[in-house]
Amino acid sequence: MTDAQVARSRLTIVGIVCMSLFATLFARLWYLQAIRTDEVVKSTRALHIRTLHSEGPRGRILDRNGKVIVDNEIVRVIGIDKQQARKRGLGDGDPRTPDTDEEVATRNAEFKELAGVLTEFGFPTKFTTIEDLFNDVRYGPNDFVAVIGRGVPEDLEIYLGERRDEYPGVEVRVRTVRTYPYGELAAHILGYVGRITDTELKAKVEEQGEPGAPRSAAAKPYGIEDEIGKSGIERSFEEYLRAVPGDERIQVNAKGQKIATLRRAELQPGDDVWLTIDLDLQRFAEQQLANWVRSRRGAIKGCDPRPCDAQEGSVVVIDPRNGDVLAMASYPTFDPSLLVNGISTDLWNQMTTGLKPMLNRATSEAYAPGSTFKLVTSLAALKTGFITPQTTIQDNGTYRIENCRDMRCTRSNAGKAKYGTVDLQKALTVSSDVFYYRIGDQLWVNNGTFGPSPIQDMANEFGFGQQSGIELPTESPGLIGTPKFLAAAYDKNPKAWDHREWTTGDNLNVSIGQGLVAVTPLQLSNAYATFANGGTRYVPNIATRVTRRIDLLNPSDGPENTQVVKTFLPKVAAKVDLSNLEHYLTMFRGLLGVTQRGNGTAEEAFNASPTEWPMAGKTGTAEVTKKSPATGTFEKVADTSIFVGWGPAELGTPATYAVSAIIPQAGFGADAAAPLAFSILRPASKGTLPPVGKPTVVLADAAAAPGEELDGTVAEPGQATTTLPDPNAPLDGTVGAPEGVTGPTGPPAPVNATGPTGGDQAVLPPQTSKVRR
Amino acid sequence: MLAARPASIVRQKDMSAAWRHVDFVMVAVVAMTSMFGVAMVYSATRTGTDPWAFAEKHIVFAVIGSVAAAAAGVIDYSKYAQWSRLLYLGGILGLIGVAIPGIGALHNGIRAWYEVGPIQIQPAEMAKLTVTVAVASYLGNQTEGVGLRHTLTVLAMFALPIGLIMLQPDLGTALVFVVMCAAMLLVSGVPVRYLLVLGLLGVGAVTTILTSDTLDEYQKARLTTFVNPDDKSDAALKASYNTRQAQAAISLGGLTGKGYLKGEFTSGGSVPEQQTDFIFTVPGEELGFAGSALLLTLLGAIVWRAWRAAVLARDEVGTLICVGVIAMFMFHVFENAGMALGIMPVTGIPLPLVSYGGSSTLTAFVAIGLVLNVHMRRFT
Repeated sequence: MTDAQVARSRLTIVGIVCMSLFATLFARLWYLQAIRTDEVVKSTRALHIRTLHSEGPRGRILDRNGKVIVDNEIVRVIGIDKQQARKRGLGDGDPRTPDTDEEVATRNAEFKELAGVLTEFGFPTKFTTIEDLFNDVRYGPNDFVAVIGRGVPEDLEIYLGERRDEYPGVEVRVRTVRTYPYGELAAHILGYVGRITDTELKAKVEEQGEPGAPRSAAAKPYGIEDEIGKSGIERSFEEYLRAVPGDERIQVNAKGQKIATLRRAELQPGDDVWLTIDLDLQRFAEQQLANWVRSRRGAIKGCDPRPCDAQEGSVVVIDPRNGDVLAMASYPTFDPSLLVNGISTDLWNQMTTGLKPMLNRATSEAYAPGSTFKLVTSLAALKTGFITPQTTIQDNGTYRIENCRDMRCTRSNAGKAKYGTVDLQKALTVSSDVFYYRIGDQLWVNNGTFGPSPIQDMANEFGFGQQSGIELPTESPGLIGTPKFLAAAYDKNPKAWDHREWTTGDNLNVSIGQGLVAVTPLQLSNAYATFANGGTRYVPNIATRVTRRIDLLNPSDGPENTQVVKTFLPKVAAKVDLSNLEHYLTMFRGLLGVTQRGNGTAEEAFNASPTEWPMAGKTGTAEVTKKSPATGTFEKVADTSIFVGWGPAELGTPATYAVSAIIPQAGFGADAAAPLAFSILRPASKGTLPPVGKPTVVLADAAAAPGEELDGTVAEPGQATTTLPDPNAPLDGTVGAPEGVTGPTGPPAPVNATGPTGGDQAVLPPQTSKVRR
Repeated sequence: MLAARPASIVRQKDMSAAWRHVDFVMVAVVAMTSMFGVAMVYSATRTGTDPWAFAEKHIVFAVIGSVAAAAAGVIDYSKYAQWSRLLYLGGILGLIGVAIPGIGALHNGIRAWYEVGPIQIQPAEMAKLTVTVAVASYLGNQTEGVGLRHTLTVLAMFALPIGLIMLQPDLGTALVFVVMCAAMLLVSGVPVRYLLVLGLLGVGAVTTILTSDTLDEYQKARLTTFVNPDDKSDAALKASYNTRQAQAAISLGGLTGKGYLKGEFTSGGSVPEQQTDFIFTVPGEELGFAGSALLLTLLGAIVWRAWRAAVLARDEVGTLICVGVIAMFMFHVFENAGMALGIMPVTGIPLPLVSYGGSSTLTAFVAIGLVLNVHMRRFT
């Protein structure tokens, strides 16, 4: 082979090599552009599209007259701006663009120092906490990561502000938090807000979409640090109160810098919710309730034979004309401002166990109604035709069950009182149990004629045994036990019940509001409001309207500056047939007599604190047993004191207030609940309610310990030990509340199947119930 | 008939017979490729404060390059071969000079540029051409065949510039010289056994370099990431970031591309060093497979025309010059496009005629000029 030939052949090799190299490039090009395109389109979208999420301020909550009960306040928080951090050599903790060892080392050193400074200024912080927050993959690489999410003091702000170069990326920013100008007032109604949990966030993403990618035009997507209503109005009106977040969908380049805005949603503050609550009345009701609960302790009048030990109670005032809830008090109460920035586990446990200060007893707890249930029994008996207004009995203090071979065949009036000849009107006025025992006995014995549950059916008509539909979360349906219910409950858990078949004793108990009957204070007042207005049962209304300020800079909430987003009109739940005038008038007179006649059970109490107009109503004294912590057995405790009524109770004048008051372990209805109710409505009826006064200025972090007067003093931030309201009320350690255990404590509660009510009371064998007036 | 007369007059004058044999296909393809390059550079850099800043300069480089290419074609390449010692010496001196701190300018830790006012000159680029001419001249004039002595001499001629370039350090450019060396030795007729030994030595050298401390960490990371794409360590992810971005951009283009100036990655600056090292992602994203394949075809046509010139060359020197240029060109294309496509490690060498950059553009044009020179003098 000559040199030329060699060169030729080797040039051919060069040509072949070149061709193969080009072929390789073409093949790879085809692979990337024809085969892998779809996959890459998907994955790069996530990499280069980011969302800047900013949660706006929540709407305010106002009372019916425009007093702002929940407001917002701007506080300063400390955190790390990831974008700045990256620029200043700290990296950004984004796993997609790993930080160098040097960046990690630099920021670790800085975070250690920062943790030290924060701890020194009273915010105990671990270095690892900051690092973990910084590396939390749920934050975007341009996000602000709040390290101290509550208001920081000015000196710390200044300290960091003067050392911006020493702490690159660390920033003090403003954030709005909830403030409560009236402190604990209406806390149970308002509820509280807190940082959204992972579970809540998941559900909300499902429902609303993600920041920058809302599911619908009206959606308000949540970010991981956002606040969400956890209870009360804050929770049930979340959709209105929450602001439309100012989400900006941006495109970023390889360095994480914004290069284009793809979509932008204008931030719009949350809408304001106007409650039906009259804050003056609410404040007064809460005060009076607290006073009465605290005063009903020990062996005092009405607490015999067992001494009283009142620890809790509730009051509900409704406008019978439209179902507006004017006041709703629950005791003990809590300070929502303690929950603004999260809460320690200890404090949380204190608030949710024992007396459960956070429980809204007016809606979420059910009690035996006692004699106040006779409204239902009377109307049921009239409806069946078993009695007429003219039916009389001889009440010599005791009632013997017909055809009874049991040991407990005899039931007595409270205090074995003898009322002589008793008709319906008198039975209501004096609270003759014997009159109702007979009804309970005969209606059951003759259930072939009257049906299996005429009393319970009437109770359902008045809204008992079902949620009222008020726009508040965790409402209890209460319990109206029927033969069918008992059999089903027994079959489900035979150990919890001592019998399966409904007995005459069960029916006797129901007829006087004991045994398998539990009602919420809200249901009770709403039932009497229904009677008072002639039979229209409204869905209790808690909010009148939702509004939006037209000019945000104008502080006025007047109609000229507000746009109504939604109005909540009275909603009729059902109509109760009260068209038989004779029946109605007999009932009316009987209930009016309770306060107006010499033999009325609450006459004395009414005269001690008379309202401007006459009131009608009914006292109740429910007998309760409670598990003794010492012996583990059920023991009788002091009676639950109940009153429910309305005013003005004048024919031809529409009633404007229906009130219910319940204080467990406070003795006779006439001795605690009735005077409490009158004391609240007395100034209301005269228009002399003390105004709630100027709001107390309370810093979000500096709320006074509950139980003390809110005087605006600044408490130590981060204070761990906060005493609960009413320090002289020891947690008695009883397992489960006397009526209606709602929590996980207590023995197996057989009625749990029907909802959160029930509990010990319902487990009791009917025989243990005794009767009071 | 009338029209034919002036042509015959020109022929009679015979001022420059060689110019009548110019490879117009090559000229046309180079012109198209260069214009393609201007469009790509503009797309990659237009988001800056002055959208035309880079593109304008690139046009100037291309114009200067065209003139330089023409100039390189004026003198018969045999003259260059005669001056080869001088040329080689000049190239080496240029590399020595740039290694001296104070004379050579440092950018990103690499000392590879002379700075003359606003102009930066990269002597390694010029050295590619001077070494090519020198080696072609040396090997092409060995009438008795190429033996061991010549092979060693050529190796030494390449070792010197490679060593100096590794001092900068610029791995990519050094590799260009290695490939050129291999190609020129192959075509020069070196016995196959020498080539095999050299191949084995090369493999050994690469292994040694990778396991020793000769390379900086970042250089190693680039190479190992390429080999081991699933390495999820921080250093590896960081190193593979550029190539992942580049591949993503190319994939996004699909078959027909996003449209010129409409690439998200390109307009967003999502691919680093896009006007130079990763220029291939611009046609990849904006023009898709259609545009990228067209560009590769144009570049392939240049290689084809150079290969044809090597075959047609009147002498061994001409053939070897063309082979040197082919090797250089081919390596640049395969390495540059290959790293954007994710099949070659990231070494940062430009795509000839397309990437922004004065020295590389000028070198590419002069190299083309040399090939044209060989081609048009194939009959003389």
